[in-house]
Amino acid sequence: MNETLSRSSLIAVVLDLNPLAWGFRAAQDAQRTSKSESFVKALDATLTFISSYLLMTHGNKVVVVGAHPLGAEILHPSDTYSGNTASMVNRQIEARVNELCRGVLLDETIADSRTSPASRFNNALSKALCCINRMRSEKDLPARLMVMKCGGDFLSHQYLPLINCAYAAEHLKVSIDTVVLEAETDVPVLQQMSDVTGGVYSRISEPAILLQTLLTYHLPDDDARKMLSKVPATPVDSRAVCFKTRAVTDIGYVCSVCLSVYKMLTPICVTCKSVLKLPGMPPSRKRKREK
Amino acid sequence: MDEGGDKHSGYRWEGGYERTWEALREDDTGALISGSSAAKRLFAKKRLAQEAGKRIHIVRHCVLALDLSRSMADPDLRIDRYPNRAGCAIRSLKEFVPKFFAACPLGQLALVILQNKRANIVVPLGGSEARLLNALKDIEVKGFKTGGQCSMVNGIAAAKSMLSAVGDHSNREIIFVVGSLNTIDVTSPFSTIETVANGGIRCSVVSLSAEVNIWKKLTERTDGKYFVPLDPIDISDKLEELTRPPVESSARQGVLVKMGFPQKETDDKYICPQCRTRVKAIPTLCDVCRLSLVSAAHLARCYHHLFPPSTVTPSIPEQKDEEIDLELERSQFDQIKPCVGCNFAPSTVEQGRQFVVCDKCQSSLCGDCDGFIDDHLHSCPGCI
Ligand SMILES: [Zn+2]
Ligand SMILES: [Zn+2]
Ligand SMILES: [Zn+2]
Ligand SMILES: [Zn+2]
Repeated sequence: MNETLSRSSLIAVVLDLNPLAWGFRAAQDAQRTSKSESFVKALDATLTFISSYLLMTHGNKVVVVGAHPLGAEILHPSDTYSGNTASMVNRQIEARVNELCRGVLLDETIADSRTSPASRFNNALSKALCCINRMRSEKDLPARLMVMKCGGDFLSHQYLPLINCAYAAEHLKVSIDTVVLEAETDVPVLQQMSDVTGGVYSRISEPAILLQTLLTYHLPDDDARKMLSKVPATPVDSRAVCFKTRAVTDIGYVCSVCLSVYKMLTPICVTCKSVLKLPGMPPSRKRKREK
Repeated sequence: MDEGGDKHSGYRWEGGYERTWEALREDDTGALISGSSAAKRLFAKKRLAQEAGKRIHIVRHCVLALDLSRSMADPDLRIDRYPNRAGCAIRSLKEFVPKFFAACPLGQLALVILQNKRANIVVPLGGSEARLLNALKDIEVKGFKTGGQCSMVNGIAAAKSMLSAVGDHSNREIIFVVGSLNTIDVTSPFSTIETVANGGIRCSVVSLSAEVNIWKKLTERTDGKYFVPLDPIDISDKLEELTRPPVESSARQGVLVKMGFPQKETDDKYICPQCRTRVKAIPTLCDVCRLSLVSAAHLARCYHHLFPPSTVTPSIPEQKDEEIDLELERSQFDQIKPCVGCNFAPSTVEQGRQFVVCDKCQSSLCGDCDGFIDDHLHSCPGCI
């Protein structure tokens, strides 16, 4: 029993550093509570979470990846510091986050775009998984992944790579926990990722309770979770998106050749160009067009 | 995993004299590394690219027919705690099942046992990995009991009874794992072979004894594969080949299949969107309205079969000349950037040999990440 308790482990944390999402968030908060420091608060909570994780068991390791609309950056470990002393790790992350956010804000493509672009979580998660894969090849240790996202963007353009990440994580036996800081809507793809890998998904509306959520629900490892009471489960939305109209649907028609999803019956698949036999109709005489 | 793809031509001692040590190289610190792993990955990539160009069967319904007749008690094949042919078959099937579901998330598997001239459906068609593994474990716990003879006709009849309910959007298959040299049937096996062939059911056979004409005929007529593995490890390799979606041989018309994407309420409670019936696990057919129930993630997991992987070039290409141009290698090594996936930078030329450059985004990738991308992530972190 003692052996399992003291076994060191690895956590990869993916942080949302999208200045626009946080800025929007701050504007919302300002209306309600006249405080506009949600990002600072959330970062503080995350750093506390990381420190707690590192201090829990000797030898625990952490990888931190920052996701922003231009890509993703590994914040820790870096060439300057790759150790695992809590205070040093925190200092490094803070410095890198500052530098990164400034860079992103100065970028013209972002400043120009009217709609708020989403952070590239697909990029961040694949980097985090690559890091876990590499660190595992050096020393086998249990690992998990923690994703923190601000705002209810559905990440629909990143759906495919994100689901691939989830199954890659499942193969590595890495569970993906997600925290979404958003009052109204769930993010289905993050829900599905946690569902596939057996991680915990939680959505909170206030940055003030982020730390509490992180420490109670997300800090305990898989063994300890069995003994704790379960996180209130939210229904997982696993509906598909129509390839033609981008509408979300719970019953759809799927092309048997390329698995494209359509909400309505369609005679020709727009993805693979096959002529399709509709359900309940006799097979058409025409041979399908050769590719 | 048979990544090198080198076909065994016979027993090890029948093969030529292999200078395996020549594949080993020393890195700058004097540690030995195998020089073949980068080449191995390139080979695997080539195979993926070949398959991605073709139309494949993504949806598969597949019946595993396992021979447990007396012939399977033969201890000529054995490994670890698996004492006979039956044990080795179970060992390999236990590896096959998860790989099958990883490659074909919409696929369904069934298990039929051929014993005492009969065929028993142990697990009906379904998408539950755990159920099949439990059934296989059950046989193991009971000590790999074998008995009687094996009947191909009855096996096919049992499999057909399940496969006939499946729509023709799916590739219907039977995979036989047999040790028997004969088949005891009430009717002519040849007419049975004709009927499965006409029914469009693909039969593949893994024979643990020797090449048997009737089984081979079956695979030839139905466009399946026929394998005679050489040793217990080889059974797993051959079965793994069968986990990959088969390439379509004749152009088939596409079908639109109606599917439901149920909401997951709690751990084992999904609600059918058409009739609100509760089901325990997906993918499955709704018990009441017979709607195929899957999740969007299951579909998404299949898409990578349709796209060829991004191509890469080795950072330090192997030099063909006798004299290796060290200066050229050094300059190639200096151009390697830290890996775009894990930030690892090579410190020696030997480590650099494992690095590749993505042809699309020109970022460097280390060997670990490159392999991980091909097998699991399916997209380069530099490109997305
Ligand atoms: Zn299609
Ligand atoms: Zn139903
Ligand atoms: Zn790497
Ligand atoms: Zn790339």
